[in-house]
Amino acid sequence: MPNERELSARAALEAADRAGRRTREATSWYATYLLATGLLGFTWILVLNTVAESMAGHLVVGAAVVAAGIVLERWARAHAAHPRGATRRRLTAMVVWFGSYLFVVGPLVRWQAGNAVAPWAAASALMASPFLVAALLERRRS
Amino acid sequence: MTHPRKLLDGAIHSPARFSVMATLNAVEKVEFGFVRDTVELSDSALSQHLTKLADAGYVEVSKVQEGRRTRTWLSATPAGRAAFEQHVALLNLIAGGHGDEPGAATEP
Repeated sequence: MPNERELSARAALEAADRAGRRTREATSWYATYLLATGLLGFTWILVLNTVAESMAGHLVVGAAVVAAGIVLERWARAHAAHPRGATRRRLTAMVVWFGSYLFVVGPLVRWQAGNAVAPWAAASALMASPFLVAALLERRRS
Repeated sequence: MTHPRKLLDGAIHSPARFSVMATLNAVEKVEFGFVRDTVELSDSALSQHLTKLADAGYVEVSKVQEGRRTRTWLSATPAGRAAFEQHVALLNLIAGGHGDEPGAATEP
């Protein structure tokens, strides 16, 4: 038979487990946020390099991306719980995405394929994949 | 040869503070109202517990102005997370009935 001290310890652990589980459930939105950020990045790179060739086109695409980004950030801020490592995961995905566009995949595709849609679609998907990976990890965790 | 209960951290040993730390340990940051509702405390009771946890260096409280609204965000510090994990380990020892065995826990 467990004594009173053991029962009290078990009750405390169960209460802590419930609180932790409920809190983790409240962070499940973050996977959707990462996916939406990746989708935004995918669309931006694709449209910027295939459709919007003029300066005006670049400005329109840029404005649309900024507007979508603001909406996404507002939606994120409306949530009461942010998962552990959220900032680190998002920053890592953004650095990999933008770094590969600037220095590796972007210059290579522009050199080899010009403005062709299919190569840019594949490259944009590849560059946005860190967001997908982070979203999958987040979904599994929460 | 110390009984684990003697190693329990007084700052988070109260059931309310332990649940607050469990909530904070699960996330990067969380809003005051969410913790209040999860742990089922009043605003003032949660504030008092947070003051004790902040004094122990386990919790950070930050207020952010968003338009007309001020939001209070809470997060566990690295020391707070370590203390919570240690506390959980000790409670597991006690709950498993190992606390009464000689040499069950040693001073950290």
